[in-house]
Amino acid sequence: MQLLYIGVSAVALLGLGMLTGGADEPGLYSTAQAKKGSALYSEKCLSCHDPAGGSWGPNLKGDDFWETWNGKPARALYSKIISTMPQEDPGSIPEKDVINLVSYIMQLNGLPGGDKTIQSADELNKIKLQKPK
Amino acid sequence: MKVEITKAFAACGCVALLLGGIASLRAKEKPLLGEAPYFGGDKTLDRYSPLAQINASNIKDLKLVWERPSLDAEYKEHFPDLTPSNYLRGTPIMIGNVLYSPDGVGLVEAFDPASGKTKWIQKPFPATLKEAAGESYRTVDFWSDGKEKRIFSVRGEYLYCIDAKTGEVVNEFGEHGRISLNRNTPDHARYFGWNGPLVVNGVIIMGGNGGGGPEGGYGDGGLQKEARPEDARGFDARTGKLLWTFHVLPQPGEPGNDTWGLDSWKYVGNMAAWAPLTADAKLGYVYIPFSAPTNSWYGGHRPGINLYSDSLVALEIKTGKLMWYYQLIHHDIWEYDIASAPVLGDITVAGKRIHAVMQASKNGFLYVFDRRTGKPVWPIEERPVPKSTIPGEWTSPTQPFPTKPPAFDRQGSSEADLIDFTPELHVKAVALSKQYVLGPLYTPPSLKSDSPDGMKGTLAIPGGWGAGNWNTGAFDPETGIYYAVSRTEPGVYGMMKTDDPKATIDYAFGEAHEHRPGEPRPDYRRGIGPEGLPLIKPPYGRVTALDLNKGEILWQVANGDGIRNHPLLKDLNLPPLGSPGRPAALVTKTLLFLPESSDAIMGGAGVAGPSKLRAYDKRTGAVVWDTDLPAGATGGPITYMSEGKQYVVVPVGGKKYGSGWVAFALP
Repeated sequence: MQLLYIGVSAVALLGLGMLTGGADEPGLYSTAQAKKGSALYSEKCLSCHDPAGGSWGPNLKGDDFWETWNGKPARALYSKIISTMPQEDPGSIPEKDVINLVSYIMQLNGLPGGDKTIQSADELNKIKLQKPK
Repeated sequence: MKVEITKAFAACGCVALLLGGIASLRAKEKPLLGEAPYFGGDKTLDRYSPLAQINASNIKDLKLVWERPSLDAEYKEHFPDLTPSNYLRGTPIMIGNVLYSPDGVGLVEAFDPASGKTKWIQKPFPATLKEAAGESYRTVDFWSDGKEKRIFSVRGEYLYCIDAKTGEVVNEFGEHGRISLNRNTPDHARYFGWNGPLVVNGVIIMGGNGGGGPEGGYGDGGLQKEARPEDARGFDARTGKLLWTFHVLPQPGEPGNDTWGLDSWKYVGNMAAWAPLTADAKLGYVYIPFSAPTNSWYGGHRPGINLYSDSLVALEIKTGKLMWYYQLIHHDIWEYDIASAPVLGDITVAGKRIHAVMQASKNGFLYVFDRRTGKPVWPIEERPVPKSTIPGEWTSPTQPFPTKPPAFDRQGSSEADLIDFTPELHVKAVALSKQYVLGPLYTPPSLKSDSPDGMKGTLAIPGGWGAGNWNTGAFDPETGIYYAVSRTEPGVYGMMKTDDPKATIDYAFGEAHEHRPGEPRPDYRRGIGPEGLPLIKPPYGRVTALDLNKGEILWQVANGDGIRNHPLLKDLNLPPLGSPGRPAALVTKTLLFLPESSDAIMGGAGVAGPSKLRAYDKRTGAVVWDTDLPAGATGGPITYMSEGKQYVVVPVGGKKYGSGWVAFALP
């Protein structure tokens, strides 16, 4: 009983705390949804946000990305994308696609994925974008 | 009796002079009302105000008095995910002691000019996040028939008519308060135009994009030569009914149709007037600056001078009838859109008073015309220019060159233009330059090599981002000085034969926009020179005061420090190198205000993080004051009087700050 209590407490604490992709945590997103996000990124984002740098829009990989997003909840990145992108038709990307894009951007920046798929925008509230050491 | 009659006539004369003086002041309403009725000051877009409460003697006391975020907090209550971009274009207008502006998502907000507090906000309909999400726009416009007061705004494909008192749409206008600006294009391309509407003499005049085709409707880039022309249109301010359409590409039977060879008139398009428009309400003309045709860097399919691409056009406001035009670039292959507002003002040249229109362009020239007739104030000469070597291309044998005033920014590239902060850097710059074709203004694009060590193309100065752009141009009607705010950044025009099965154009920019796979992209923010520096000498941003009574440069200064803190430069004790952003100026009685522009502006070449607002002595270009801004400017500043106090308001935005308006006033 005591072990279960501790186990439940640990899970409860994990639920209250933010996930940052640490070694003892499960993956932050599923690799399958990051793959969908990658395909969408190539179609809709790459022309302005090339990870190699130098394009019109802010670079979404590496130091340029972390300068803006380190320490912020993944939900904030979701909000930014769903409100402002693509530039010619903001608000047009469906919720699930934006979640997949956020997943891909996390993958692009070295945050670990796994088997668990993020199902809703609310789940992004529990993920903190933290630059890997 | 004679003396009494003489005195009476004298008195009448004095009264007439006084009334005439008041009439000429009333014609430019700002001096009496202290308002700012349009985002460029008024519809001359001179960015000038005669207000003088803030002046050189007291500006050191100017303080930040309020800040307002670009999105009212009420929106977040309904749409928690709604986040505006950091690029807040909206400059408020001030009418009847209320500020009106497009906000960070393009909805209109009305707020108090003395406190920044909300009066009303436009509600998105339907009330969904998708409808609420949007981009910001540069301005709204105001119309009244003496009873009704309306605000007109553009958002997405729609032109909205909003009750200025309540913020509710005016249902009698268009369809439930709005009309669609979409054009009839095969790909159902959506309209977009960042400037907002221009309402004058009961007509709403719209330029803007949405012809479909390459790269979303600018005619820049892409692999297709087909698009629809982006005609200018006039709508009734009361009902929204379309009154007229001006064909930017003349149709069969219209003069100029024969300037499109090989039947290219059937399928080429773009040429949007995406720069701000101006109007002379008394004369009854609107001035419209059009841009480059499809596509901007290769025109083998469209031999001819291609009217009215890159033309300044004067139309009758009521009918859209063409009164006169002047084409600044024949057969554009440099993307030298007319990107600046056609500023209106009066000058005195050789003793003659001229009602002028002053048109800056990306190429660094200011073209000055009599705005009634289109006659150049100083001769504009057709001069021979180099011929393109791209197979199949047609080159105009000449281009128009203004004889006065001198160019306000650098034109043409040569070894003498390469950086020489140190001898070592110059040697490296010369070596790098061997991969480019250098040459004078209007050196055409050239072929890009397949080999990474081969030729990259033509190094054009100015490049496609321009020397001049939408931010360029402020005019002082008291002195006849035009202030050109510009940037110096080369463009690389390297063309390759298209081999993509989707391509319908024979040549396009070299693969992946100026770089090859595996090669780092040239970074607009870092430069294509050695060690990430620019390849060419500074200044990279400047202000040039042009005395348009003489057609001469009065002074020219770099605008800001620029990159002098780069690791290779910081120990060299360099002067200000100029910031290559897009700041817009504000001229007052004694001062020229100029903020540093933000890297949130499209192209990303401005300042990241906190920046400066400077005031220059408008006669000499000396900086008399500066203060900190929480982020770089993203739109033009405006000034007005409210309850006896003068305010200066600047739209700002940046990654760390977000976006909003900041207001300054004296204590």
